[in-house]
Amino acid sequence: MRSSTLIKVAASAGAVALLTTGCLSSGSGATVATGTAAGPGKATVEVMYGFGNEQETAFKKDLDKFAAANGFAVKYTKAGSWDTEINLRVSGGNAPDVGLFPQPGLMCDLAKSGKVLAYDDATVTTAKSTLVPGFVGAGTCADGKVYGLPSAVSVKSLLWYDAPQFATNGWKAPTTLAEMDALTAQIKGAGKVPWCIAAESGQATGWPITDWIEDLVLRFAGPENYDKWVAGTLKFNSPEIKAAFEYLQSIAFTDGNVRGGTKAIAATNFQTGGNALFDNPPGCYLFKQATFIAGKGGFPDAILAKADTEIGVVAFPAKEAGNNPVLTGGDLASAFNNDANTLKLRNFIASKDNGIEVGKAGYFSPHKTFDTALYPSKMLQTIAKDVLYKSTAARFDGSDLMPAKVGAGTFWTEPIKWINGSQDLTTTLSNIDASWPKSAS
Amino acid sequence: MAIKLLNALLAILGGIGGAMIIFWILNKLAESLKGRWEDRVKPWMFAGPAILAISVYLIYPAIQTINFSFANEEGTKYVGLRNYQDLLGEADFRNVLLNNLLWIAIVPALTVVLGLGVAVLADRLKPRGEKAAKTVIFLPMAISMVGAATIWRSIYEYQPTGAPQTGLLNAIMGLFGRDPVYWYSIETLKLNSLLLMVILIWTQVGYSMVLLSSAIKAVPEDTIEAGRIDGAGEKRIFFSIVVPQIWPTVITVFITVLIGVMKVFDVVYVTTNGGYNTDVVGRRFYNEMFTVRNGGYAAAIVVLLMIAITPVLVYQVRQFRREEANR
Repeated sequence: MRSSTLIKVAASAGAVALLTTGCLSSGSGATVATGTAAGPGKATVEVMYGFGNEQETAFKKDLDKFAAANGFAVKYTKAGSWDTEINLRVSGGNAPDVGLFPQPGLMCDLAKSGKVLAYDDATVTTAKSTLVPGFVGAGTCADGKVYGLPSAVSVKSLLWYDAPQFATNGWKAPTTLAEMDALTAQIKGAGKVPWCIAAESGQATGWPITDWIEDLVLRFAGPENYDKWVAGTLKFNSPEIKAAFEYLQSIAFTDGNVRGGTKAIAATNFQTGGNALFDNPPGCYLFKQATFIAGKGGFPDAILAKADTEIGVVAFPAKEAGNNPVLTGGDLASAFNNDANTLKLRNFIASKDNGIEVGKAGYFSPHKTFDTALYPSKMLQTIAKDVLYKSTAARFDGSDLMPAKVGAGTFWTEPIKWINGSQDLTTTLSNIDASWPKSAS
Repeated sequence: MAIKLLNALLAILGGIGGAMIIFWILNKLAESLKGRWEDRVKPWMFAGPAILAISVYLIYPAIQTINFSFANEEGTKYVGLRNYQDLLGEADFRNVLLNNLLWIAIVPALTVVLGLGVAVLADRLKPRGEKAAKTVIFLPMAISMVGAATIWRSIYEYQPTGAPQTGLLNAIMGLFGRDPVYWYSIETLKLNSLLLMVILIWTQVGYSMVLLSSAIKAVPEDTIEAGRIDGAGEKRIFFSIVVPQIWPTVITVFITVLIGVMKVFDVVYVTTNGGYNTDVVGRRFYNEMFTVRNGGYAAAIVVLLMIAITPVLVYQVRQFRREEANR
């Protein structure tokens, strides 16, 4: 009896299997390739984004004002987990109208299958005239079309220090890498630990190292090579890129340079790892991290309350003085359909007129024309004026642009193994190269 | 609020009422048939909706997963066995399998042994002490895996040498004048994996203890008495009289924990994200599916996991049937 049921089950399972064989999804379907508006204009435009807190509130204020003036409403959808949710919405045929992509890689993936709409040339030209040079490239995909333009950005190329400490010791914040080396040696010569480097971030451990490397690649290999590197044509193991790793090695692997020793880097939390700057006596004197570190959860509250006098910040030193590329992160505005109001809203988000409220909340506009006096603190105004708007070439976070297997995988994990001493630099670099997806399908 | 409650109530009433109406109609349909056909069709009328639901929500997705495991990243083209070849040919993935084997070998067994130990010892306490001890050990059961991992963070946490140590283990190391250690990074003897297993065991021992404790209490006193009269020692009584009688429960606990362990994900994801060679199948699947977005690999991993779990399930069902037959 039993065996006959088994046969029946097997047979029916087989039948279902036969029916479903060959039932693979049929690749790219309908495409929306034209950049011109069509349709009467929706009454409600849905915009989806992944950020929260004050940025979200300010973003809504900016958009509501614009939408009201143009006679439509905006529906706000916040994605708790952006990648997963936008993928589900788009593949389910239920995409929002406008999306703010924190990672251009995913945007280009979706653009390739025709789900995202490119910008028209006129809008791109207008934006380009006021954007910090290099930002248009961030939203340009492999086909050469621009699918996303940045709205609010954060600045990563920053070096933090304790301003009063520098004053009492008579140190000057470095402007070139050579000066930074000299300062490192000087601090160490005084019997102190120069650096805090922190790369622990729970399940995302390792990403702060990618920021270090990206900034160094921009300086050692230059922005053009940076683009090639991010696109995968320049290998990690090539001399241009290796130089960046070797420079980090010279700082991080020298005894006495880093608080807690080299291995501590992988174990020190990125958010609180720089707080030792403000300890008494300080645990270290230099710390590289993005703007967010001077906010809640980063530097101690007591220090943040006196930010303008306590916290010193300069652009991460250049290779040659004055030639400062800047590494940024941010959200790229893109559209999923060519409805007139959808495009109107998308173009507004990416324009120089957007971001007044967001700027007041402390998030930078990528447009050089933005009134820096709107930023809420002297510290942020300095960063905007001296670092972001003065930079010669802005580049988007490279690990966000690389295929996820590398940019959110081996580029995080392999350098951690290197820092822990379980493998040497050459192995680390060739492991990352080997993990790069073979066919850029 | 009131509207939400009303909606919920309506949904429940509608759901149950709808189901009742459907079954009533199906029943009437079956009754309208003549003679033997009524008896033949009726069972299917009642089992049918359930079978349909299982097919749609379980069997169909399972078959599709097998189907996709032979396809490329986006599921648009068949690639034959390439996904399996790639995965099994990769040293990292073999290490993932080895880690899972370690989890399987260690966690269920230790959970049962510890649960049994606590159950036996607590049984000897006065009722009040027993209750208190059991409550404390059962508490972690109520905590989510992510919560548990966060709690254990305060034990494993690391601060650089010189800073005050916020992790218990490193604070103890400090008492003996040793440098702090980043525990999650120690691969010697798979110590880091073992430390992660401790977290899972901590959450599961309560479950094992509760089931085994009630099984022990159900062991007839006269069998133990008889053993004692025949001169058996405590050890003998425990291993030759108590254990054989609670064996079915031991198996149930063991297999439930085993299946849980094979699917382990959260603990590893939130602590190391598979770094330092602590990766497991569940996390690797998530990584392929949602980070790398390689549907082919993800499906292949799930299929391998299904194949591995099947014998355990078959054994469990057999065991269950045997128990039913004994009743």
